[in-house]
Amino acid sequence: MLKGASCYKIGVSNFADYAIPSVFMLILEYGVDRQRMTRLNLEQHPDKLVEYMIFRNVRNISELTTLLKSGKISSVLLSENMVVSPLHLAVAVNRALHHEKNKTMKTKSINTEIILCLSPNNNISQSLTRFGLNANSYNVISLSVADSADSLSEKVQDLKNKIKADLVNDCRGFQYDDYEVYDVYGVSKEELSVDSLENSVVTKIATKV
Amino acid sequence: MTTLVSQGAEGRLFETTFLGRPCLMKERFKKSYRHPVLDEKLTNKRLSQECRMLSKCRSLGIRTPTVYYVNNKTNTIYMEYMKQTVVFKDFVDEHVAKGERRVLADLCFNVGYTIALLHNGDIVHGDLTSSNVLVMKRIDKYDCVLIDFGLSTNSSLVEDKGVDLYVLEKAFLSTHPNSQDLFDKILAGYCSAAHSQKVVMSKLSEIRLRGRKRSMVG
Ligand SMILES: Nc1ncnc2c1ncn2[C@@H]1O[C@H](COP(=O)(O)OP(=O)(O)OP(=O)(O)O)[C@@H](O)[C@H]1O
Ligand SMILES: [Mg+2]
Repeated sequence: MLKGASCYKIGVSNFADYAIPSVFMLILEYGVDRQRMTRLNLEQHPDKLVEYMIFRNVRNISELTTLLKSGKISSVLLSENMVVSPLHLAVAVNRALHHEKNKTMKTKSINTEIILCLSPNNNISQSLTRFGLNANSYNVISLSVADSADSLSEKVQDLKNKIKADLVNDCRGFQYDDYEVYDVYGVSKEELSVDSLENSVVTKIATKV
Repeated sequence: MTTLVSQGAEGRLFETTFLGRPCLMKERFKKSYRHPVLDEKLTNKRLSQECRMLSKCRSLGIRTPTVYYVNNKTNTIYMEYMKQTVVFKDFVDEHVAKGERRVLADLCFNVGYTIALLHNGDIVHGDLTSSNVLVMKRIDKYDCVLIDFGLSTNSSLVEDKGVDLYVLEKAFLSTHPNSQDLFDKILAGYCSAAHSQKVVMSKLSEIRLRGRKRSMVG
């Protein structure tokens, strides 16, 4: 059973991102395994349930990589160091769901499509190495997309069972590597002078062709 | 919740949210009088052009609305709804009425400077009017945001840059009569940063004499 914890970021401006868990859910989460999950409410895809969790100091990366390769994990696992914010995740998931709905996916599954949509270009294998798990990953963000509450909680429970991670108490947002992010997305210093990194990155992935 | 904000001849604007943030949906629709296939292509082209430019302008250090989602099936862009801004046109009207020309002079210089950044990046806006510039208050000054890139193109031609300024001049002076001094500030801001300011200025004088016509030929 996992003892992992997640972190989630609350900034005043981002407050609306989070579905506030009911008291019951809080008791359940904290009572059972302290795992915090956060809902991404995508207004443009109201029929989909999307939830993410953060796992820090994951100890069984190679095991997880094997499970992913054999299709035994039905959620997306990302390296935390490349993800700027929940909005960053939301824009990628939203775009991937658009591709799925319109049958224009470039990959075989919605989960890989999400990883591709996070990427600044359309190189599938490159996006998997950059954003997916690799041998050097230790902090992991999971993303689960489902059509029903049952299916979602099944996916989430499965992750909690499979991921061996530490309990983390601070919840100060995503720990990303800013220089790596500038580099991968080609963020110029000019653009950072007029707006946030988050808005720059999001615009790049939303408008890529 | 999605509500209609405005309805024009070529498109509609709706207000909605994206991950809880205020979001403006800009939908372009087809023109019934055009050939359907051609029309589809044209509408699509303007959509993708607008998206590319919104992103490219940012790289050049020009603030544009954040893009959250592009729906190429409905020709709709979902972008940051910048409610903290005022349309440049309204800002000018308001400050002219109040006699606050000092603030306007600084802002106009800034608008010109921003257009120079655009032209330095070899982008011409194609529809520069005081409705397509938003004004955003920063702590100690006003910044401008450029929008409405549906007619923008990549061009390094002096002719195209000159026409861009000429269109703005025409639009600005007809919307804001007796404001030649303010437009001069825009040009001053432009010249302070544009790489090819000398040739563009002489091109502008040339275009003033003959009208923008020639560019329509090509
Ligand atoms: N991101 C935004 N935030 C706030 N206000 C906006 C934003 N985008 C547009 N507006 C407002 O809506 C008006 C119309 O938008 P826009 O210029 O993009 O559309 P349009 O003129 O109908 O487009 P087109 O000329 O391509 O048909 C703007 O003049 C401005 O007042
Ligand atoms: Mg306009």
